[in-house]
Amino acid sequence: MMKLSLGPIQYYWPRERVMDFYREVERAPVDIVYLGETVCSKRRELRPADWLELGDRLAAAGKTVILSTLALMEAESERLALESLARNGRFLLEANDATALGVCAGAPFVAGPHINTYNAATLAELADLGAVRWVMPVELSRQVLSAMHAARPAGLETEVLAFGRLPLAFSARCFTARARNVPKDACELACIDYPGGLPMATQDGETFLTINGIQLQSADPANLIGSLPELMDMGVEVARISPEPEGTLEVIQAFRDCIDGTRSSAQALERLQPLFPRFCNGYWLGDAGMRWHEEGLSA
Amino acid sequence: MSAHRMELVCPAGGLPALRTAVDNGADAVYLSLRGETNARNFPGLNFDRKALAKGIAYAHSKGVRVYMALNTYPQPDLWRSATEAVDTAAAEGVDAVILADLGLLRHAADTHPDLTLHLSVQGSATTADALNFYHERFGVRRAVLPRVLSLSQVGQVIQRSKVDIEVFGFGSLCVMVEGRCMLSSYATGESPNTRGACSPAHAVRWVETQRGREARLNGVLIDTFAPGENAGYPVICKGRYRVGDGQETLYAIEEPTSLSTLDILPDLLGIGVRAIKLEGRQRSPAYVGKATRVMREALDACHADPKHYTPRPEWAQQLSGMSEGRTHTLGALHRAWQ
Amino acid sequence: MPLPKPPVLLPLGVALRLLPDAVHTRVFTALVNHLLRGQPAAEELGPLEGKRICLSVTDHRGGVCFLVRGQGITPWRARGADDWDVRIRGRLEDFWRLATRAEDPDTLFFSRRLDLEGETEAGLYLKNLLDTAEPDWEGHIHAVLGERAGRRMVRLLHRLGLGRHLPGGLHVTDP
Repeated sequence: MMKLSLGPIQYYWPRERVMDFYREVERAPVDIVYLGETVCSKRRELRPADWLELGDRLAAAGKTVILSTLALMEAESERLALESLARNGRFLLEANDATALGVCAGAPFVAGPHINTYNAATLAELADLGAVRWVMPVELSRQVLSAMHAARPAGLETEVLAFGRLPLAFSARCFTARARNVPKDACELACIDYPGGLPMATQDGETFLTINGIQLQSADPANLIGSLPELMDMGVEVARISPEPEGTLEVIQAFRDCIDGTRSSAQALERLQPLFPRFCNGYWLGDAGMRWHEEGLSA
Repeated sequence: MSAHRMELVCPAGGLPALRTAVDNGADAVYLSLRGETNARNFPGLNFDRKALAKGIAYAHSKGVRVYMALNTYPQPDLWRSATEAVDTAAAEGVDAVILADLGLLRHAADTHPDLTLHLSVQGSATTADALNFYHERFGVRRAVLPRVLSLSQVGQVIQRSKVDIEVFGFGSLCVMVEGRCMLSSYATGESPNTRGACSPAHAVRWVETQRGREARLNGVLIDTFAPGENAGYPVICKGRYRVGDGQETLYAIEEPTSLSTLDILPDLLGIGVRAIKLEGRQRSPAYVGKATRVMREALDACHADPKHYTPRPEWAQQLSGMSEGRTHTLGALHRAWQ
Repeated sequence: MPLPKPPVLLPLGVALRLLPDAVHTRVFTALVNHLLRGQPAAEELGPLEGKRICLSVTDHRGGVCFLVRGQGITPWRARGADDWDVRIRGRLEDFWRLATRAEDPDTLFFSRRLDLEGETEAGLYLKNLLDTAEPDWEGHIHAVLGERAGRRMVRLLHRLGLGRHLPGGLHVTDP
């Protein structure tokens, strides 16, 4: 049976909002929950101890908890925080850069979506390092995954981002601070004002990207619910949902129904359509990531 | 005072550029085989095996080293050509290969234990621990840092790193962590990671309209240039957009500007940087010649007397004349830019 | 910064103004095809096969259009303003500086002195072909003069030290 995971929150939410969200997640039908700040180390509404406490609560509710690391490590303090995270003694880490790979090597860990895993030789290398699961980079297609699965090391699980805005790029610069016309060092944690990021449109008014601090995301959430049967056939063990400010619990339920077979993927898609203006799934189908193809999906 | 010298590493998109770089004072050149195994996969650019042999022979005859970049992340359909490219590099006698992919690093380390390995900027390693991971695991000897760190951060990395550090010294500026940017494939289906192409040419259209010259990428309007306004490469990060509810258009990500480290060469020398790289394998021999000559003079002046080094105005003038955006920045090396 | 005009451009500019484009095109294509003989670049025209390419000189009201065919080019008479796949527009002086590799095309592009319209990929291929092709003068001389006379000529040029004055240099395989 395919497992359902909830990725780390990519946005900067006030502490109470995070707590409320995870209280609901305790009761939501997900199997795995990834916790932690992956985008910007200046976002400190929750301290490491708070994340661990949240982890304990979710674990008590029957979830498998994994702690996600920063995608871009720059400062000495971030490395020290990572090393202490690795010594938590309770939860595995999701490594999101080579610093974390070095720290995790030799013990079981998850190779996150920001580790560039584009071929079977890299899968073998990750397995050799101790990876028990890898999360497919978002720009890969079903053809590539199927070719990689043909030579996947035994015991290495595959996880695919099945719903949520695509993390597309990380920078040294903060685009939210830039939009507010302040330097990054004086950002005053402006991200907290944008629980779903800041939309960015082209000059002819097309929504195009989402600004989220030092990260750029797709404008619309990726949605592979229509391809879920295909993912299961291909032997993908985990489908990941990335938290959005609204509608995440409904998304979880729709995916759960689809996995349990109580709803077809077409029905599940229909249920999600009113909640979001648009979706994208181009990457999965081998097209430009921004594209949305409804036709040709398995019913 | 530092005893070491910084190596000048220059781009070569073809044989004429290689000869020009060598003749104008490069210590090393970096190049690629044709195809999707390198991050500058432009139509008609780069070396076939015959040109590679000629290029290596010419460079080596003048005491100049040759590095081959194989810095995409080959997907299964490209795996064979990528490993063959590593094998070709070893057989032809390049002085190092510049890699990013974990699987390819493994192949190179196991198959060619004597081949020197550099970690590409596309490897996204931004900390000493990340670099040491690559060193201990694959024997990587040098790494190119992504253009996201400040000068003091670069210094901290060097202090704890077991590999030599190379930094970009001049050229078009990538504002994202290299190897972590999928903006191009989001719009076109092809990215530096997957196909060695950022804004692949087949997806680019320049259209003259009444409002000015539109740059479109697979239909997405990246920017509109008023008549006479300087243009940049048609990449998503250098376009102008609307943010939030605002109606004005702005460079929401980055201005089209170029990186230049002419002003801080003694600082880079002082913190222990081992090599300075010039960007621009897609540029012409005319650019390579000028950029190499300017940086050679600047480095010689810096090495001779770092304490009293002052960049000559004509250096900056010559470089900015050829630059994207025709303005310069220290980029992330200057903390305030971040 | 305006550059001093090379003296060669003066008669070229006058010719562009006085002669019909058909004449420029014939002269241009004959010259290019002549230069392409025996060149590795001629073998790499494949991706441009069938492309209609127009070079349009903005300051002298003229230009040439040609069609890439096989290992050379043939004159192309455009049947309207948009009858091309790639159009490169610029001033005569800038075209000259490109042809002699004195200027970098991207530099001209950034400063809006050069426009590339239409199929960007074909245009970029053409640009990179010109940038990366190393003129094989030895091969060219052999192709034009024949094997024996060609070899004598190459040796002569090399011995007299004239080879290095050819654009890109004469790189002799067997001096």
